[in-house]
Amino acid sequence: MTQQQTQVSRLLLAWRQGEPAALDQLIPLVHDELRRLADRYLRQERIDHSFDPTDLVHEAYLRLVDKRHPQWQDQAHFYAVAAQLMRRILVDHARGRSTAKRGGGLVTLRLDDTDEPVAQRAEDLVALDDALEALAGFDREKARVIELRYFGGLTIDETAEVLGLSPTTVVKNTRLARAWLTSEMRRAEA
Amino acid sequence: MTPERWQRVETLFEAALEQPPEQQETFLDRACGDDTELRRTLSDMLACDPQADRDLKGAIVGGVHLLEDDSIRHLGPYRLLQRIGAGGMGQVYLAERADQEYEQRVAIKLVRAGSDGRGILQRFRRERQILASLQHPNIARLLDGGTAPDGRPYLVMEYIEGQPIDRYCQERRLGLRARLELFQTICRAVQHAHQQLIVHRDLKPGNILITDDGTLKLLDFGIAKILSGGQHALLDAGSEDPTTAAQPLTWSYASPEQIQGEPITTATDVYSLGVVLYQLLTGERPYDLADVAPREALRRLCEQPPPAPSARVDGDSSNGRPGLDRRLRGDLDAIALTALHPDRTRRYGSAEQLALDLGRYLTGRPVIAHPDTLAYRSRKFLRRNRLPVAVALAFATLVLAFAASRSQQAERIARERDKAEEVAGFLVDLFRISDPRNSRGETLTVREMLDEGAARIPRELGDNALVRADLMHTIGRVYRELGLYDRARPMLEEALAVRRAEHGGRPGGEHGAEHPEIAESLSALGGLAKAEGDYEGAERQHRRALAILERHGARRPAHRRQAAEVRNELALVLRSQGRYEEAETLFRQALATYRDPDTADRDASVTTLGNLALVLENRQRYDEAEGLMRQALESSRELYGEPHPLVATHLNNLAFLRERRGDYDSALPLYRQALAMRRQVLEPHHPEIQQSLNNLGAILSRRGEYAAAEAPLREALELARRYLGNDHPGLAPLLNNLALVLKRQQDTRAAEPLYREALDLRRRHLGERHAAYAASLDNLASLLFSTGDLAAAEPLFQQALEVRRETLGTEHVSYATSLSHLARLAHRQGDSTSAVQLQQQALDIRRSRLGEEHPRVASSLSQLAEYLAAVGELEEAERCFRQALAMRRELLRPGHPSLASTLTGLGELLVDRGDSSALNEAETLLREALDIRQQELEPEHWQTAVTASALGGCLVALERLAEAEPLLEKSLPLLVEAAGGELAAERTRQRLVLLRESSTRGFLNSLAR
Repeated sequence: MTQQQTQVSRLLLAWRQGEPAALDQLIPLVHDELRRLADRYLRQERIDHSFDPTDLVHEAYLRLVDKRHPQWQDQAHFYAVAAQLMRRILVDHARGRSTAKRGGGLVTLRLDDTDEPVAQRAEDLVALDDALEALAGFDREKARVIELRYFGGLTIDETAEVLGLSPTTVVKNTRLARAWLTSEMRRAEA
Repeated sequence: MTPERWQRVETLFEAALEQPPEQQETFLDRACGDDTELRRTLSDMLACDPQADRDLKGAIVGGVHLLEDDSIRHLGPYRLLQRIGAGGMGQVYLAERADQEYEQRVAIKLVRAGSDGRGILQRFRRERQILASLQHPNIARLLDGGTAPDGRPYLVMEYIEGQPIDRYCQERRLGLRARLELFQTICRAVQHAHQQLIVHRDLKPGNILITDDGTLKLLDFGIAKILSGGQHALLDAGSEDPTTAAQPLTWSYASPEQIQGEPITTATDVYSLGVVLYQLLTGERPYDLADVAPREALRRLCEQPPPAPSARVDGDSSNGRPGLDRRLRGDLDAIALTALHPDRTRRYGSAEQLALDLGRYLTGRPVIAHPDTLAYRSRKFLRRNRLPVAVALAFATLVLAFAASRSQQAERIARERDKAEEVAGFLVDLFRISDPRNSRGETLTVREMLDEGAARIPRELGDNALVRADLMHTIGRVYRELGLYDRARPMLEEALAVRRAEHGGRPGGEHGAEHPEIAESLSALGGLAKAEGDYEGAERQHRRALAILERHGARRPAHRRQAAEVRNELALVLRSQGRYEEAETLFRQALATYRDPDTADRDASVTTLGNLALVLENRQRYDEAEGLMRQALESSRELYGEPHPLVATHLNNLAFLRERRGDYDSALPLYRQALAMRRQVLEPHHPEIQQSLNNLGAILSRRGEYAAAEAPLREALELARRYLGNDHPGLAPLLNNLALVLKRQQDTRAAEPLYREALDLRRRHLGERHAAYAASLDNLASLLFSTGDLAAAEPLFQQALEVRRETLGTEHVSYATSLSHLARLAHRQGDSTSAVQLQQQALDIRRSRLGEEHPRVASSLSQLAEYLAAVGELEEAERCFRQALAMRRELLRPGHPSLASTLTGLGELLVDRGDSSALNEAETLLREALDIRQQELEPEHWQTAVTASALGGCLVALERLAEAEPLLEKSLPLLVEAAGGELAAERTRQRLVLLRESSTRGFLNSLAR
């Protein structure tokens, strides 16, 4: 049990009990841990596939949260924070790339062993982020649903818990929001 | 978007989803009324809904990839620019060389972690030379390879920006002809690679790109082999079982044999070409396996022919190519299905044949693949005709030459004119029966034609004996060329008897035996005797012929030329007997005749020039030999163009000279070229193909690529047994080469009978006073030596040395070989002082004969160093080791097993020296050596143990006992069991004792503290 774990667990509890300032303290802790984990994956422990952001989130949870009194809700709330941060890490990087790199969207149909084209353009993620931002402007809750599920890897039940919704609503919201987001992304691309 | 409007979108979206799909549009029309923007938003969302989940994940994964990519910015000298592809085997990046002024853009394939990285690198090293030699305007080149900082191997390839061929054809709506022409280009490029013995293994539209300027490029040639090593890519996706590996989609271009894990040949690529052709014709793949269970998919691929292309486009006018089905039906259906035949022997024999058949279709000629008889009968037809076509040309040439010489003489003698006409008439008849219309609808082979001719000679030419003799002579020579010696002999002997009888009144008559035609017959029999391995008989016959012609020579240029021909033949016999000096004289005499304006003959002079170069090589005059051989090669190129059997011969011989000089790197591609050219122009079992295979195998073996060498050597031996029989001295070199490769792969049990067979053949055919016999003795002795049977090896080594001294003298490189082997024996027997002397002698000879920079000089140095170390001459030993190491690094390919011996030797020496800088260097050297051995040898090999033990000793000296212990413990049992491991086993025991002492001391020290 590290000091950090005690601290994170305390902040999570405080935040869950309605103390918004706790979140402000939580964010840098989680962000640093995620960044650190991502770097580690990228530099050394490269396994045989791309890292999965949701795995990172899970690992950060294991490292940061006191597990002597595991609280299911703690995990969900932690994931909620982590999802948002994961999104930020990825998007910040993609934004840096999409402006810094020359040529922008070089579309090369150089395919390899499978016929699956590679989503390799920073623009896709940037467009998704823009669309999510827009969505949050008029429906914050649905934007959160997407963020939790896609960037944080939360299950339907966990998402429902974090946002205080019924699982059915989460399913419906997910489908609606993602259809709108992808149509927005396509429009941005065109 | 206002919250109110969004509310409405939400309600309508959910309501629309509840409608049956076909009514959704109507529903929206009704629900949205005039609000076109709302209408558009909703219909966009409904359109996106099915892939929305995938699209979102894709965007996020793309972001992850970007992060990953930026964590690797450089690979070796390359700067990564962008990921451009990914798949089961890893990622592909666009990159540029970071250390160059000008911009070279390349594609880098970074292999996925967790795959067989070491194997990939090893295969890359093995293949890179071959792939680097693959130069064709339609093939993207493999440029480089290396290892990323995290250990993953990567391959660097020419970067091609373009569109896959299927998409290209589709987008440009190319017509049938344009598609077929593009496809022919693919076939020709594939054919080019096949001639270098490179199989693509993974042909598919994604690997066939068309660039902006319309150039077609094949990517990834040979890459599949490097990535998956022998196994094809589909089985490599982490699963041994094809039914669980990957999705059926990725099988789409693989041949049945590939999926079943059978050996991959050029026929595999022909199949994949068939799939690509099918797709270009119909827009679809031959099999629709999208929703088929894996096992069932496999069954269909292997057992069921796909539907004919015309049936796939039948009634489909949406492809924008009306009437397509009609145009595909018939020839194109047949061509595609022939290429796609599940049985590889029924496919086209080569990519070129596929291209040629399409060419026939495009020019309106009948194609070979035809729907009614389909592949099977066409293949049968081709196979039956392949030999005849090649040989018929040779035969026709002979006949023409024959007719020409006849007609010259006929101008002078009326009787001869009659004879010429009679012969001509007979030959015309002979060719007529080969016309399918006159012979029961079957085409006769040349063999059958010859048999028929031989049978008809007495029947139809009974009253003109000399004409009969001419024909028998000609037919006899063709039989000999075909390797049908039993049939050749009676023909040639009877021709001789008839000529003697006709020219001399009675056989043996002194005056009649002087006729040049008799000389011709004698020389032909001499050639036959040599082909059968009877060198003495051959010499006798040629000398008789020569004696006759020399008496005529002064009078007629034609006879002088004939005499030169016989001299050349005789010299070849002498060369085979090891009588090089006599051979050289004869070659030079023949050459002078061919260059004399009165008797000039360019073709013959080129051949003789090449022969002269070879004998000069035997006499160790390497520079002269090389110069003449290059001259011969250039002249033959001018005379005959490429490809041509004689050009191939000179290529082969030039490679041989380079090989003898130790320049293996430049010899290898020449041998490959020669083999490819021969396969292209000769029939498949031709002796020269056997020769090429043998040479290729031998050079691979010299390069230490034993596993790669085995297959060509086996094929060569098999071919040779086929046409030489089992009792022919010509088998000996083939047996030796194969045996050596087996020996090097530690299969001594398989190697020994081969060496013995070769020794026996040479003893019986060449006698015991022959350099080749000595070589066989040496081979067998070395094998026995390596199994630890020193007692049996010693007398054989001694005998080889004696024979070599007698036949070659004491300045010959082969004599040096014997010395070197005896040195090794002495060292093993504990007499290192003698070993030093013997090896020093060998080294001196090698230096004076081969020059300073030769692998064998390095080998002598390295061994000498070892023996010097054993007698305590440590400084001298170190100097020799270092010199040998520098040479081997320079001369041998990286990772060559011999490099490991020198590294180990030097490493051990440095450990014994013991100071800290020596120990540090030793560790580096020994680790490099161990790396090589682990890559080149089986894990339990005793030589690996020698190096591991040396490294262990080094670590003991460095007091890294925990690291040292497992190395030593593991090595000891391997060394104890190995023949030849005694010395190393003893050293290992000593090292273990040191280790125990050190650790006890450490323990005591810790107590004392």
